[in-house]
Amino acid sequence: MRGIGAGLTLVYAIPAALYLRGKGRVDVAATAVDVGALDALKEGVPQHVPVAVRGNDAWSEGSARAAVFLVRRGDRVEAFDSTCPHTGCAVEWDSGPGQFRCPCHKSAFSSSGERLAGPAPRGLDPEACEVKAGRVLVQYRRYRPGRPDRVGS
Amino acid sequence: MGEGPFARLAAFLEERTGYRALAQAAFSEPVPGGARKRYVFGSVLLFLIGNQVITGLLLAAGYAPSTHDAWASVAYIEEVAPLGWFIRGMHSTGASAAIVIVLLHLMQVTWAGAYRRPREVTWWVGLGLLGLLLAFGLTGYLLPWDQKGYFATQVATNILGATPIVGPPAQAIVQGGAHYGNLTLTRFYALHVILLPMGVVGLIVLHVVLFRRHGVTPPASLDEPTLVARTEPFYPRQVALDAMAAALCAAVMVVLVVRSHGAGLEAPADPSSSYEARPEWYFLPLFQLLRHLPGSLELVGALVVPLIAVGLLLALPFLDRAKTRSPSARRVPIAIVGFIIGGSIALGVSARLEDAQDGAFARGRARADEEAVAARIRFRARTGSAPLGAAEQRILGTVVFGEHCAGCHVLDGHGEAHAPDLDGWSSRKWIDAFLAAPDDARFFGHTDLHGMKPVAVVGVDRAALVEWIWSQGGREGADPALITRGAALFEELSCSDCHESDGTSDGTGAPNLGGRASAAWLEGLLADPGSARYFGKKNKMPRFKDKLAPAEMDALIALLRSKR
Repeated sequence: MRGIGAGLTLVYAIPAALYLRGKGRVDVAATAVDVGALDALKEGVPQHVPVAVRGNDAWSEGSARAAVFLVRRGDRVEAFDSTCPHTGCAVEWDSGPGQFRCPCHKSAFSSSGERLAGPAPRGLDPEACEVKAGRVLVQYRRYRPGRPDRVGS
Repeated sequence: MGEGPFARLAAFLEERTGYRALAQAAFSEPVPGGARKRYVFGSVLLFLIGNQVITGLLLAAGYAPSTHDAWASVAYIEEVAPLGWFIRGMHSTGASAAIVIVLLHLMQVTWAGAYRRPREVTWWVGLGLLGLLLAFGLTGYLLPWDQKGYFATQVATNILGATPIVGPPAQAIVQGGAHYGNLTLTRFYALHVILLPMGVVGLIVLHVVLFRRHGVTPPASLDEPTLVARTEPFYPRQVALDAMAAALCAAVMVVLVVRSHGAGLEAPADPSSSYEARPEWYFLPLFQLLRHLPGSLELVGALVVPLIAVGLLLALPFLDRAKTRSPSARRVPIAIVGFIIGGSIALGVSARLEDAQDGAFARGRARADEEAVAARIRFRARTGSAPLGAAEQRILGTVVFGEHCAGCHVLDGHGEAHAPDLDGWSSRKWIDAFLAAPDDARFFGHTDLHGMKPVAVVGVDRAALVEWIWSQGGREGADPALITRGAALFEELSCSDCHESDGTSDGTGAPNLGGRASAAWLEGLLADPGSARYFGKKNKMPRFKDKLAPAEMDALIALLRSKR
């Protein structure tokens, strides 16, 4: 019996486990992407901009779409991933109360990304962002949702 | 012997398989106390599973599990494949119906006390089937790779990933890596069409075999002699009741599918967009729990509460200490099941009510509906599968503009101003303002196309020149006298030194104004704005030749011409 068990494990279980660990979609280490002009941003008003994330998705090449919110603070710009750190829905800017809100479970975040309400375990994820020659450059990175700390994924 | 060929074949098979005894056993099964309507649920579920197999096979025959093709293949099923909408509608409605019937079945079994000894294993296998049905639903609605499937399923897999210890590897395996992508679809597809069906078939066989072993559980109010006296075989009366119930269920489903024209299909998944993700109705209770528990209690809502409910249901046969099956003696188990189902209904209803009072949800929903309609129109335009009506063409034009033009042009308040403002484009007012200041930021100010001098003439002459230019896009509604005068001014004011007006010749950096803003002129411009007939070498607008489907080009031209 033990021999049969070992044989099945060796021939099927271990290969299956390794096979299923395939990586699928993989982001290429991010380089900074030009997402627009500084002049196009209004002071303190988050602006939603799509970012193309380079990478491969199993057998197909090509970039995936993601989005960040840019918030201008004078000559600097803060950027936040639009993905809610709770379960991965995309947050939107609600200009009424001046908060980010997640449409799925009602988490709310301030314009500087801090968690104000709802089930999200942390604030919005900041993204590396700099201004060069009047252009806003974002280096996009994803973090694992559903946990209080930021772990890259 | 004088037997026909069928009888001989039957005899041949009987001798080798003994099938008559099997059929006899299947149909002559005694039903103590007689046939009853309340026994139909199991058979209706078998019918529904047959419905899922048939419609599922047909859908699989038209579906492509890849992020690039999944949505389009489902749109193809909906829009092009004959009766595809009906088949997909029956599959989706059948899934919901199965959940409804399985819950009714569970309530009937609870009321009858049919989970009690010796039927505990039948009860557990039934609960396992309920779990598999929910897993079917969850894996199924990701497959179209539309907004709903993408975001609602993401919530589920991220919750799975947040489970201590086993969560992260389990999440990586089901979604095929750290992110959603092609492998997520192939894995969900494999689960949905291979693994889960195998599991369901296995558990159904077990469930039916166990049911046959112990028989139906008649109402507790009937005493033994009455039961014996009223006992009748499964066939014909119970079979007839079961068949009628299944037919009624099918009829209701057909009506629902025809009325709703099948299952919904949202716009293709777009991770960069915001979407009011809501799961299918049978997951709304969990959704609502999650929405109202703070982050630290996340796992309580997502795992602990459901696990307690499942644990209580599994333990029901042991929690039942009653001596008899009479419902009045079994208040505790009936209360447990009532509380779980009642609580789920209350949570689900409160989720719907809360959304109904939420303005942001309504706005997000309306936007998602518009995007879904636009995506379907787009699909039809791309595949040429159906002609577009005027309203659909307007929507398509706006979508195409948003995707290809709004990065530089403003129209109806949308877009960025790096190129001429297209609000009121080529209306008399727009032409007049343009002639006054071609280099204004509203016109060519942001581009490299400079050199045209403002037109100095005013009054009637100005109006005449405007009228002549305007009439190039179509003379209907134009003033013929003004046009004649404008044509003469075009020469007198030396406009013709730079601009051709025959509609065909090349110029030297200034566009040929012959037929300006007509459909043909616009089509040439959009195809290749840098050609010598239009803006020449200094042009920076991209070519759209071969980038737009003919219907998309027509819609964009119609949109622009509607501003005249």
